[in-house]
Amino acid sequence: MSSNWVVWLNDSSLRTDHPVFYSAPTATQAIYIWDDEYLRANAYTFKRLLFVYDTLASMPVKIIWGESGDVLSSLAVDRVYVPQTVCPWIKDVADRLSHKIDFTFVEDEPLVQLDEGKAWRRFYQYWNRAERTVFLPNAGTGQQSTPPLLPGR
Amino acid sequence: MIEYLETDFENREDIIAYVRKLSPWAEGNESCIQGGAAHMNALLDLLEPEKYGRTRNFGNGRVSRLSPYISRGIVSLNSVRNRALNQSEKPERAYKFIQELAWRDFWRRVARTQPELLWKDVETYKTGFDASEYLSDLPVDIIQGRTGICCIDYFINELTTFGLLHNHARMYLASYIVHFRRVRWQAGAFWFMQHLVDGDLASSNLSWQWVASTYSNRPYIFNLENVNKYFGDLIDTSGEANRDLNMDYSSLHSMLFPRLGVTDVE
Ligand SMILES: Cc1cc2nc3c(=O)[nH]c(=O)nc-3n(C[C@H](O)[C@H](O)[C@H](O)COP(=O)(O)OP(=O)(O)OC[C@H]3O[C@@H](n4cnc5c(N)ncnc54)[C@H](O)[C@@H]3O)c2cc1C
Repeated sequence: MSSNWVVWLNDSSLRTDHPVFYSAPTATQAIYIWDDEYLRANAYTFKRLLFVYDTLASMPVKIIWGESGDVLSSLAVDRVYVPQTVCPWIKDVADRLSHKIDFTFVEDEPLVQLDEGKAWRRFYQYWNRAERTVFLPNAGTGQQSTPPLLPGR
Repeated sequence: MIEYLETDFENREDIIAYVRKLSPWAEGNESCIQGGAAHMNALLDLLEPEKYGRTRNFGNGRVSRLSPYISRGIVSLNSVRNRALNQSEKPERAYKFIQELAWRDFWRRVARTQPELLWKDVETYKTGFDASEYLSDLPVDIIQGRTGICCIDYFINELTTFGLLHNHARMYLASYIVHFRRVRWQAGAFWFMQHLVDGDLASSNLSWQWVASTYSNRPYIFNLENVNKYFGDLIDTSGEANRDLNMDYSSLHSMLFPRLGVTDVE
């Protein structure tokens, strides 16, 4: 990789207008790691794997084979931009490498304007607050931004 | 050495062959549900939020089928909501559709702030049974879709063939597994995650817990009459083909939760 940073896409963020691309410097390369060990441990069926590959094949992203930690280490990058995810495994990889790589997790566009840190329990407790902004375009936050410039594959 | 994988293909058959070679251990076949933004855009064009509200509970209702694209992040919830607002005369007409998008956002927020709840019982079962009384593994007849109950086998076949299921069918199947067969929700949730092309830990596992009653006030159960109402046009819902489900709710409650009084689950 020519620059010192990459965007590391994961299974919950396969698109090029995710806010992670606005956080990263312009033209940062996007990668996806095909971590076969992880996929196999989850025993994902072929249809699930193919759906992801269909999507990746239509995007300007480099797909790299290998164990995620090893791949990120061998890329010799010092910063990795990651779309925020609930997947505990991505967080584990980031924790393991945090002594040598800076990970920046970037939130997706919000559906509602609410504190991301609040621990909700029941839906209607959340809904009573969510209702105030959920019916507004862009949750009332202003305009959606236009897609940034991305490098080719 | 960094090993870059192929991204230029002539056609989908070539992608299929390539992924087979990459991960030969993966079970099953391809689904007709294809990834990529072009397919997602085609579905967005078909969105009818108003009809959705009236028909979404039916097996052949106007649901969006967007979940694989939302789950894989091919489109944001924000964009889908904006589109739903554009395609409705007034925001109120898209109420139900947007509320369902909010369910996804809610589950995501719960998982984000309390990731330990993804695989752990949030609360105890409200079924009269202790977690230790549930089977830890899925019985083989469920995995193979040979339970002998027509509608359940139909839903299992949909799951394993297409990797997608209607929300109501997911609820029935989860309820059947946890309450009729007394299997721990975690076993069912792991199985769903293997097959669903929209598999999402937060929406799936927390919904399983909602059905199981470890994240709700009571267990979710259903009977044949209910399946017939919503899926009768699509599946054989005759009593003979679906014996174990053909009961009124109060008999079902006593059969499934013998340690609870009827009022405990009503
Ligand atoms: C046991 C169980 C497991 C589930 N597992 C998943 C899963 O792995 N991934 C997943 O995306 N959804 C899951 N759901 C939620 C729901 O069933 C699906 O999102 C929905 O059926 C997808 O079909 P659709 O895109 O046509 O939805 P629509 O009805 O058209 O709704 C539009 C979008 O709203 C969201 N949504 C709708 N209903 C729900 C709901 N009840 N909970 C959360 N989000 C919702 C989805 O993103 C969906 O694409 C599960 C539900 C149950 C009961």
